Amino acid sequence: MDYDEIQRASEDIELIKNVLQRTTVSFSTLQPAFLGLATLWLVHALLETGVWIGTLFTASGTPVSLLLSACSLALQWLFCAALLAFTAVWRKRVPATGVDPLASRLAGMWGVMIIGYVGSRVLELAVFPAVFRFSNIAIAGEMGVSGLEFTLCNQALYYATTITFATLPLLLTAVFFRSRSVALLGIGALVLGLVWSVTWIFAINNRVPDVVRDVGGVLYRLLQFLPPIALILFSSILRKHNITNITVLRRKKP
Amino acid sequence: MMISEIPSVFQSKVRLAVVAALLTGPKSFKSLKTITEATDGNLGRQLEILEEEHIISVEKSIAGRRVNSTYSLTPAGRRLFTEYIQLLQDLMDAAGDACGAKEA
Repeated sequence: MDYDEIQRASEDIELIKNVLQRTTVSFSTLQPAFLGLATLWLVHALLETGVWIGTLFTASGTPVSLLLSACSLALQWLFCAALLAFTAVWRKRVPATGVDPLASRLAGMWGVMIIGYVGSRVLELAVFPAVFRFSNIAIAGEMGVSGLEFTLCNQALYYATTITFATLPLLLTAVFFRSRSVALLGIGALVLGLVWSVTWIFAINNRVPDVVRDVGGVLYRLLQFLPPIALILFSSILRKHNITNITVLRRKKP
Repeated sequence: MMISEIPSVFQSKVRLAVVAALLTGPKSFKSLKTITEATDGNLGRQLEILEEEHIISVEKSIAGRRVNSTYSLTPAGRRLFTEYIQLLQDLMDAAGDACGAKEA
């Protein structure tokens, strides 16, 4: 190895670095979009939690409880609409070329996650109440389908989608960035979600005490805060590393 | 890859800049000209060499009376360039180690 070789290698590295800096659209420029989405999600989770706490202290069937239920429903539909609008605007801002393929995949992952989350909420808001009503009418019995089984299947489907779309972003972000702390948070969320779903499946049959059911309710509320936490973590990682560094981060160390 | 085995395609600064630029996605002739700051003739010649070596591919489309050329990196070109970057990094690491040993 002589001085000329080192000099040449150094010049080439400098040239490549300069070209990459000029041609790569830094994904960190999209960081405000992630923070905006996190804020939107966090506000929604806080409002929904507030409404839920309100229902705990209100007798059912009263005008206040009906108002709270209506507020909760309106909040959820509004949130779904806001998420879809946000995703549509955001897609327009992502350039078609010049973005690192890894960053494009990350953006795609969030897009799929948001659409999946909205899908699971629509299931909860529109499909589940309809099926619940259907399961309560006599025709369900005539068809040979137990109303309770029907409800359980429908709820299990809803639980699965909710848990998946609440924990998936955390787990995928952890895999992409090789972050142990984010992975632990994701696994913790998944365990919480599974505990919650199992608790509620048993709660339908009134096999569990009210306290356990309430704990399940609290776990569900905690789950609502996970996507915004994942978004904040994601945007802070983007802020720390530009896209070239992200690629370097993913490369195996010898 | 050894330092003595550097492909001839990377022995020109313009060609190296073109390949680095195409790493982030396909580019037009005009964009590549701006990035490399080369003359039309020189850039055209370097692009021909890269195409002959299957490092890049060109797609031509007709827009009105004009022919637009879009250049992109081939999988083989991307692999070769990655190997070259690895070689450069190894070389710099070795130089760093040698400096450290000398100081000690």
